[in-house]
Amino acid sequence: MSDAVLELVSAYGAPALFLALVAGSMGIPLPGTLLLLGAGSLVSSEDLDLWEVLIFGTAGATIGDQVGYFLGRLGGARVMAWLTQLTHGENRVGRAQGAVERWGAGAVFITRWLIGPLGPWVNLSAGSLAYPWPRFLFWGVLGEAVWVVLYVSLGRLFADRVQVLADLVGSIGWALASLAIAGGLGWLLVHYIRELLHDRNTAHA
Amino acid sequence: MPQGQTVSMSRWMLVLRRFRARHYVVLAALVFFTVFATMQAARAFGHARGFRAPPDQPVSEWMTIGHVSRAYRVPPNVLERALGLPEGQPDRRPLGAIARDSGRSFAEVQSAVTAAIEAHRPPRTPSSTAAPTPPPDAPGPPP
Repeated sequence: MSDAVLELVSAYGAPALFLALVAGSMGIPLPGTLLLLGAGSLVSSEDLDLWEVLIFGTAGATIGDQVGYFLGRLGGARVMAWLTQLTHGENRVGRAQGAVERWGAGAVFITRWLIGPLGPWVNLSAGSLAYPWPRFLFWGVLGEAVWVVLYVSLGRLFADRVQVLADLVGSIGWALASLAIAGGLGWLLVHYIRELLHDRNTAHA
Repeated sequence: MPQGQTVSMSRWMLVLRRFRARHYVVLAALVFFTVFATMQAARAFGHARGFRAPPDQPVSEWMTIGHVSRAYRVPPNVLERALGLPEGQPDRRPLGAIARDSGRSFAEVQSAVTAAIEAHRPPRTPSSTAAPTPPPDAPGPPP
């Protein structure tokens, strides 16, 4: 499928890249990084225009993010009710909202270009936890611009090894995303253990 | 076993005994993502080694004549000639579209382009710079 989408970008240029990145940022599994590297390599052979690729690419990825954010926002009330029921209490959800307020900007920025696999989930979470939209938009545009410029530049530099570079970058992205999730789960587990120890101490006292 | 260590062990056993289903789910997910991260890091290491090797990506449908020309360092007219296209007229169609428009399979176009690249490339020399050893049945040096 990767080759077919890349062929569309090669044949129809920046508008095809735009549509593919809108879909990819919404969470539809499309090889966004490979598309940007391929587009960069086509820029280096003057088959595509650099500025068109940068502008259409950033716009497409940003619009896809907004769709995810507003889907989260629309379904937010139901998700919150479900989460509250699941975690047995409103204070946990409130703490999660506090964490999103505090760390949201960094999470939105980093998941645009470095930990890409988590991007669509962060969009939905930011929307459902009512993260302020202007801030989401600002950090989203900034992160997507970094992603597009970085990978188009790499594609221009390494036009003769686009596929292996896409595989390399993809594996690094998944490794970092898994590590980030593992870190979050580890933190949660430590928190649970502290709670259990605290319960035991208060029971003894 | 020191007493402090025994107390600490029993404390952990107590914590584990108090674990409920959700704690085990979090623990299992933590193990899963840690293993997955390690596997992806190992794959990335393998790809990094491949990235350092000389480029040998196959010719694909999405590549244009301009891209192949630049990536494989072959003049565009060599590729145009191999594909039976008019020389010197820039063609920005991807190779997949060129194959479809000319009623050929992509495999045919791919092999024509690959053959043109191979024919144009300078022959690969062995990496060793040592003098070639004579075959075992070769005559020895003159006395």
